[in-house]
Amino acid sequence: MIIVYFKQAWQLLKQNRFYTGIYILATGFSIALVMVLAIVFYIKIANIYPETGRNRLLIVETGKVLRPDSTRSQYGLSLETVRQCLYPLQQAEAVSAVYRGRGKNYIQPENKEPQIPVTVKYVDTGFWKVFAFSFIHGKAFSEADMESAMQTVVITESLARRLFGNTEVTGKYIHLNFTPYRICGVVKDVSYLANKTFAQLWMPYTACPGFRAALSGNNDGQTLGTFAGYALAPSVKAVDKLKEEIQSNVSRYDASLGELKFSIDGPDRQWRSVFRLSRGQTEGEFTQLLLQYAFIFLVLLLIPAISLSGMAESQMERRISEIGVRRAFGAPKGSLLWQLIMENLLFTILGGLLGLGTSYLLVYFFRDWILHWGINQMFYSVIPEGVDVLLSPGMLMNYTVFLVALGVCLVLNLMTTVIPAWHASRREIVYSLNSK
Amino acid sequence: MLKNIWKQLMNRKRKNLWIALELLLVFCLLWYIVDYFFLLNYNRSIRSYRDMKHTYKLELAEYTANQTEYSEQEDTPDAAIANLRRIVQRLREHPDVESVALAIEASSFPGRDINTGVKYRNREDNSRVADIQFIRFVPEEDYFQVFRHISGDGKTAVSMNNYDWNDPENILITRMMEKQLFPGQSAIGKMIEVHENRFYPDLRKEYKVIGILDDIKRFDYLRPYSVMFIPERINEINYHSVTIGFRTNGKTPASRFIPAFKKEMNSRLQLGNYYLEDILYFPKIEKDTEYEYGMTNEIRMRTAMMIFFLVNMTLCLLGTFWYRVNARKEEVGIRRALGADTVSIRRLFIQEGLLLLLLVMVPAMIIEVQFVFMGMTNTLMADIPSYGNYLPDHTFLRFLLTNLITWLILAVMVILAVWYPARSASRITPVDALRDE
Repeated sequence: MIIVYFKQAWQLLKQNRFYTGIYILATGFSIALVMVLAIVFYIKIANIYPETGRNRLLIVETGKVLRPDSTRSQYGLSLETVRQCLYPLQQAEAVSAVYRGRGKNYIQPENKEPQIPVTVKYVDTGFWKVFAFSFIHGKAFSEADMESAMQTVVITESLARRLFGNTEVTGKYIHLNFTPYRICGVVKDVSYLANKTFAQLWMPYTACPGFRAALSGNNDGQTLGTFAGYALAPSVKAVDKLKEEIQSNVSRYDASLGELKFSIDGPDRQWRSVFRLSRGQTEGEFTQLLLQYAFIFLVLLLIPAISLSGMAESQMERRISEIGVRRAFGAPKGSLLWQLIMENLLFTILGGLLGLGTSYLLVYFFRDWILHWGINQMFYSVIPEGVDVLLSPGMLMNYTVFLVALGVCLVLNLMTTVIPAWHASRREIVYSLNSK
Repeated sequence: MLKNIWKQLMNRKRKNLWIALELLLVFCLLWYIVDYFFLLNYNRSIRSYRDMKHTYKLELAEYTANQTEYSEQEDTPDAAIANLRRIVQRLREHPDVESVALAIEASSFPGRDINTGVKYRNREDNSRVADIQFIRFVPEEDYFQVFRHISGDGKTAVSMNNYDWNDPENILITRMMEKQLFPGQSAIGKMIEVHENRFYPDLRKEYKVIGILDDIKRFDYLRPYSVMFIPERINEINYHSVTIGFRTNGKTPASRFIPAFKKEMNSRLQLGNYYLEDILYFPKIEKDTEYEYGMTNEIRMRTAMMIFFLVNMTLCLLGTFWYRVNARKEEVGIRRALGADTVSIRRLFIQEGLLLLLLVMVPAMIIEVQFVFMGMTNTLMADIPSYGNYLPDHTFLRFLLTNLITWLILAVMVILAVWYPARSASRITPVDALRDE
């Protein structure tokens, strides 16, 4: 039956090219914007290289202290906190702490060329287990390198090519900030969008020049500092257990601190960390933020839905006489309603395809900034010089995005057609037949 | 005529209800965005009396003890300060460099100003307090000439040499600060004293105003703010935070000047433990800061939303009117037969659209007033007490103006959307239209 409806709709389409063109264009346009947002959130939340375990990852980036004089602070974690609460985790497959050192980094090429700015991350050995980097040459630095603060680094494929012309560079030295470092491994480039892992060069945090100063600079019972912690659960199901373990470690640590009250923000699942504001927020604020996003999505669908409804209503009018005839021959209202909705679905799906294609183009061409959309952060980091925001086809074309697109089509179609179709199928038969 | 159109509209109540609803929603949402852009462009249009074109920041770095190039004997304050002065000298010898500015901390240069939280007040009248930014320049080089500061309502170019910097209490302030602390009088020769200062122990308790500069803005999208310019000599404590800026003659554009300068000066500016890390174009610094503060994204987001709403609405009108024209073929035919020309038929449909828009404006404004009362329009410093006469502070006038702008934008879109269907209607010949009858 549905095929007959579609055939009928196809005939309608051919009869009325201008109108259907406008209708499909309007549908496509509105779906494009919603899909851009959907893709942005997909890239922020889904498992993308090298953060392929995002669905079983727990993230602790900041903590809070309440001092006896009732002043409070919020900042990153200290290494001591990571050692007390995260490194000993029993239920985790792997745990990593990343030192968030600031400052600019430059590489001095061999041939006295001007310096090359690079993004550096200071990590531990667990980092390479929590995140699934693919090594092209060499391997990650070892526990021993870490402990002896060896000046050894992992670099990306593109940086290796730029400096040496090839990727087989393990064992060679580079000069970073006028200090020689030995290359121990080369990995596939990481997209700027994988914000927890993105860098062009990774080194043990013990080898970072500012590391010791940062350790001694801590106060507040050594709880806050410049580290972020990541713990990977062995399976998605085990995440909740791991969460409990982290919380119990934190309360035990807190109890050992005397009068100082220490707590962490989180631990967050990936999707939740996306909505976490840099100042941290309460449970209630989280719900409020989610409601806010739901509202924005609704408005984004409502505006096109109303405009499409208006157009559908006009279109129904032309078919009133046909509907009258069918009613006169005994067609129930329900089946007429169903038919009108299904017919319209064809237009909506055509619009959906157009919209999805457009959204890919939009995301691709505006990838430098469009992916910052959605979350109101206090700060947006400017993309470093010489960094291209990599988008892999898998980030755009995947079942999740297709399903969301289909879902949006169905919702939009229902929002658009139900009221006009309801009106049309309920008209008095006499009136319908008489309309022309 | 109007009555006629009104009747036509009422006859198709239900279909017009859809368009009206769409117009209403789009009107309110669009107004919200228009209001934001109105404020933004108003602020952007306020002149900032300094000029960042052709100015650059020199980023110097120092070798540290674990690096091979490090020299211990160059790491004394005296040697380092001497090296800094030699770097300035070499910079000035560069044929493209016109003048050099020295300041303490990067926040003393445009584009990176931070919120200091420092307050000063009028010494004679303690109730006059102002939140201020301060810029600490080194009175060895002409900071004011590099950034083309101006005084006397945009007339006189300011130079460091016009003032006496022997007394470290002497400062320059902006007109905004004068208005805030000394309303209705000249601040020259007057004293100010600290009201609140938690983070900057090296600022003095009292300063004497010796000159007034024209207003500058912290960022282009904000209004002018109160600034004081404090002279500070290089000494053993602050030499690490000396920052260098300079102005070129503008013959080479920034994109070509920067790489050429780096290549040429890389080894010449390596003195003692100092070396050239980078050079940055000040307008670019400002742009990056706007980006970091989320301003750039905010503007792009709102522009995208505006386009989205407008296109949706236009397509809605286009589709609906297309159908309406077809449904009213007979009516058009009769009108044509009775002697109406194509122009008047077209006008009829366009007037219908515009009247609908006018009707929608009333409920839209009622909804918008709620937005205003909820305080959702207090953006971009419009809520901070200001000492200038700014149009957006007159809420009622701003409300009318932004609504008018919204109506005009929508009217253009309505005309565009209705025009094509109306044209095809006006081309219907009476014979065709009335054949069925």
